[in-house]
Amino acid sequence: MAFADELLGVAKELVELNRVPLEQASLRRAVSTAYYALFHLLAGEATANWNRAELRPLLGRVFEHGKMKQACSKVADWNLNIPSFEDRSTGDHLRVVARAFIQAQERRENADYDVALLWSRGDVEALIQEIVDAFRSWNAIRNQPDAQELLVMFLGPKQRNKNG
Amino acid sequence: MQLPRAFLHEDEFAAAVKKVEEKLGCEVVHISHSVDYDSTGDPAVHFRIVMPDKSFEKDQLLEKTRHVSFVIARELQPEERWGVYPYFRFRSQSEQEAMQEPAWAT
Repeated sequence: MAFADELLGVAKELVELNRVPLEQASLRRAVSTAYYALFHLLAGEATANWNRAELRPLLGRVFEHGKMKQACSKVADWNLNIPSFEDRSTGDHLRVVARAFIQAQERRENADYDVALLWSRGDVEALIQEIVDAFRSWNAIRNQPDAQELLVMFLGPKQRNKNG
Repeated sequence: MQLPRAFLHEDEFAAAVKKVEEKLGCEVVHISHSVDYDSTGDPAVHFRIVMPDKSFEKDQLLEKTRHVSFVIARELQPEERWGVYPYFRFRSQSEQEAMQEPAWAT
């Protein structure tokens, strides 16, 4: 099983632990692990294009969270609805991946660093379902030109803040 | 640096959020929000959405949360009209009743 799939499995196990109430630490770890599952799925796909397999882990260190978020924000387009899986276009699949990435990244930051925020099981389950769906969508389009372009955009320069 | 409209007209933005909450009817119990900056320093609105317990049944959860997010984004147009990027968190009614967190109630 690929590392990204393992991480997603761990996140699911954490949120499904049969304890009531579930500890905040488990919920926070689930959020963080779910985000990193998606991060490593996408970074792994990008580095897989590199011919020298032994250098792929090193290349993976190049990916920056902020740049990946900026790239995703260009395709996330919240004005469009997401159809059911069977009816999605490549653009819809990309939107699923991009939105999940942006939302998960923000929550990962909160989960790891903002100790004042409380988490509920429902909140974390909702995020994990988004990420599971993003995995499915990505796998449906991973070889499409638009999907490959997104991977290249991850390496692009960080866009200046619109208001800065 | 120009501040986003949502920062400058918080009351107006809050009224617009209230209107969307009313439009969503029984699909949501309550929508709270705060306008601030996200973890990368971009202007943002963080929505905290309490939904009925039945929305959290496993086979419905993704569809319900995605629909509510879409309606909020479509009606408010947070980026285009207000200059803030939307983030969504969800909680069931019974979870909020147990946790009693003011940030999700006001």
